[in-house]
Amino acid sequence: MSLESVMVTGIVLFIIGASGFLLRGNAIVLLLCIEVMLNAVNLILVGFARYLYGTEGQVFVFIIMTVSAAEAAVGLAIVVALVRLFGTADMTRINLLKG
Amino acid sequence: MSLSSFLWILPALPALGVLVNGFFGTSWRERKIASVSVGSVGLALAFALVFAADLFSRLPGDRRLSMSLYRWLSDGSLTVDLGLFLDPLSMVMVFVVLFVGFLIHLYSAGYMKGDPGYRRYFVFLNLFIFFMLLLVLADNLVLTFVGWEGVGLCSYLLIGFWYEKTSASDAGRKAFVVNRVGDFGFLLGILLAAVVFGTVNYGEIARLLGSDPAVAPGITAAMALLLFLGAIGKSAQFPLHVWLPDAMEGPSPVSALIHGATMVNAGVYLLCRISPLLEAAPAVFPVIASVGLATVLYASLSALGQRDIKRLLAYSTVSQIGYMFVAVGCGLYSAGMFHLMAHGIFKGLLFLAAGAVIHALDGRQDLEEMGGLGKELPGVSLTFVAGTLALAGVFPLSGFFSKDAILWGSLGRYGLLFWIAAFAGALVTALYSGKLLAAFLGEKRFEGSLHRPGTVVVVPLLVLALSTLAAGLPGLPLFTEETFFARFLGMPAHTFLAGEHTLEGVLMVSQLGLIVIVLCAAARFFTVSRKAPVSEALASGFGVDRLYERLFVRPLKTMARFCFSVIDSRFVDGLVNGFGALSMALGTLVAGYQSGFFRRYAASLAGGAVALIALSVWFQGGF
Amino acid sequence: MDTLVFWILAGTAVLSALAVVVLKNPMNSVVALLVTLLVTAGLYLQMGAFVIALFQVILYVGAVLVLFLFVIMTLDLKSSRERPVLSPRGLAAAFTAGIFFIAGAGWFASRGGFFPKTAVSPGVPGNGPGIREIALDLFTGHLLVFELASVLLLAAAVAALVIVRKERSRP
Repeated sequence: MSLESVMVTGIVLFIIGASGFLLRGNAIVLLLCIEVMLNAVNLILVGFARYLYGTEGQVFVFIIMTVSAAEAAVGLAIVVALVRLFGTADMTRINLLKG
Repeated sequence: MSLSSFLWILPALPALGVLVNGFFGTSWRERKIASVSVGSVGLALAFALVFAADLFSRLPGDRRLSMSLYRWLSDGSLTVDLGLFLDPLSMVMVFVVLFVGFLIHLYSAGYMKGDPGYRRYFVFLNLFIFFMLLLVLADNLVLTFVGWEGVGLCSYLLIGFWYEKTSASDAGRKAFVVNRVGDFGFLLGILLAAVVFGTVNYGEIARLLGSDPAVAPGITAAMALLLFLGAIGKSAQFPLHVWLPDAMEGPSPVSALIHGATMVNAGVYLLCRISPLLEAAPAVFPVIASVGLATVLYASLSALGQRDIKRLLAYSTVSQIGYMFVAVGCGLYSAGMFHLMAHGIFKGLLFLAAGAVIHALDGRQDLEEMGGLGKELPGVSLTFVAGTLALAGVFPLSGFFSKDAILWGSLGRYGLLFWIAAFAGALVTALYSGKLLAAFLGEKRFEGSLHRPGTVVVVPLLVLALSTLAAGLPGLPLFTEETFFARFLGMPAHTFLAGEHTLEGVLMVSQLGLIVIVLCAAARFFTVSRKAPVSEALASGFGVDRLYERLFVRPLKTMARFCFSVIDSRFVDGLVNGFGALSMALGTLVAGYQSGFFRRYAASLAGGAVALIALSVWFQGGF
Repeated sequence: MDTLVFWILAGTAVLSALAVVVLKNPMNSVVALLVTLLVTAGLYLQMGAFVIALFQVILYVGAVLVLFLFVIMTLDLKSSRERPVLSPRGLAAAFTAGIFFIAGAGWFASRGGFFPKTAVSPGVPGNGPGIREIALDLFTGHLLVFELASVLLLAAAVAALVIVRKERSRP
């Protein structure tokens, strides 16, 4: 297990999460993809923390987790409000602007 | 404290009239406006008389007053000042402008009563006097040109005074444009003078020409011809005369002042002013004389064919100025200026009287409908007859002396053939004078009753009629070049056939006799048979207008239409509208960014993030 | 041995992440995410970051994922007419992404890996920092960040409450 392999794994996971974010339309799934991306970033950070001295890498990961939890909460609240308003969670069909 | 430093008062007074009437006169009654206007000119006349007295009291060589107001342009080698200069030549002009101008202002006060543009009229009239004085008093070519252009502008404004009438505004435009052709020559002449002499001041040019004749005569001739072109335009000589008959669309006092007495004389004045230039290039004289002679014949014949009384007088003006040009072309400046003064007075009189007649007839101007006016309007008719006799050149009116001097001079300078042609012109003049007289004799040919003119209108007529009688006096004594007038003027005189007094006397008497005979015959002919067969050619001025229309006006109009519909509409408007369309397109493009499509937002986020990261890595040198 | 475990875990993580993206039913996606999170926790353990693995399981799996489950169960989601990700278009997109990735990786490889050989240390032998060290660092060196994070959590809680509240109609 080398740093490069950890990084490669992280990058691949991030790309998967990003593509999923761009390709899917369901609001919940979008949030899930965000979580995937964040996890990928955490993985890379922990990898760096492992290979360099110090505690800062893990502290940073901790904070990221906190933020991610907060964001998931608010995001889900928004999804609930959206579904209540539009009756669907499909983001591609929700458009009030005249474009 | 010499009088010179007060020269500026002369043009300042009418300018003051313009400002006062222009800014404050919008709510004044007619009487107040007129008094300001007439008063300013009257005061200027009084001052002019003071200056004249001063000039008279001096010795012949010392007769000049000059002052320099302001250094206008200065470019190392060339300086142009706002300078005023009064010598006998300009004194004559100033006198004509202010005397006739004052009487015309007075006449207008009554004539234009009730016209909605009363204030505008007097503002323009005063403005004209201002520019005319500037023209006459200027001591250099450039300032003269300023006055020249200014009077052209006022002429345009006043011809088209009743601008709601299309014919009037067209006539104004025509006058301005035709003048422009002459002005082009004038301007080129000024530029040439500036380049060759390094100065445009009359006095300095005269000095340079006198002391150093190293300037090639070809150049001076070219300069003289260019300035002569300007004179042709302003004085309505052939072929730039076409604007004057149409200019009769303006009110009669305007025709009297601008197109009878003052502005059209500006060309003659200019030629006299540049006499040193002419003397240095003597080849130009025959050109001037021939143009003048051709104009005399052309215009007098055209005058014969006119039915409208004002148009007849207009053509007559053209031909009389031709006589002045003939005089200058013979080198007889004093004869030309004398005729200028005499003509200014009697032509002004004729136009004013014609105006009174037209007004009395409720706007009718056709000669064939006039007759027997002598019984109905005795005062006006008397003055009109006086003017007509002066025009024909009958002794002892002023026209006799001046015309005689010119004819004698032309015989001496250019010989018998020339004299015959000039005298023929005088005979035709007598013919159409007879036609004019017929309006006042014989039986009544008009219908309806007449409006008697008011006192304010009649008084100037009487004054001018008396002046016509008196104006002949400076032309004495006869038989010499040393008339009072010539001595006052003090310009170089060329004497021809000096001493041939018997010939001169015989000629004078026989000329007079022939003229009187022709005059009476024509008067009787036109009184009796008014429907005289007059050819179309004469009436239309030999078709010159039509020729110009086809040659110049139509192509220009087509070009203008083209410019408007193609270049202006498509290119210019297209460009301007294109910018608007471009902005709108850009806006729509940017607005599309806010589409509400979620996926697009996400994609742009991702793309933007990638770009930013790539940029930052690039700048860190990481690649 | 070590490497084998790593690659198994890493492979599982990638596959389950793909499942999150590809599966149509959101419920299935949530379950796939669960697998991803657990496997990542395993990776953390392998790298010696016990604290982080602990928090991964407690926070992510225990709180966030459960929240997702609650919301999905509560909402009555109609099946949407999305275009399935495994459609030809999606596959084409994946293919393109794959090409880019390989190109990028190849370029990095040609320059001798991600890092210059000297910069990376061989790694801390044994385990990483324990909870004691992390706590010390967090509450002393990075106290401000900690406080800000707590404020953020408070704000998020309030925000979630406000967003979800029903409009009260005025009489």
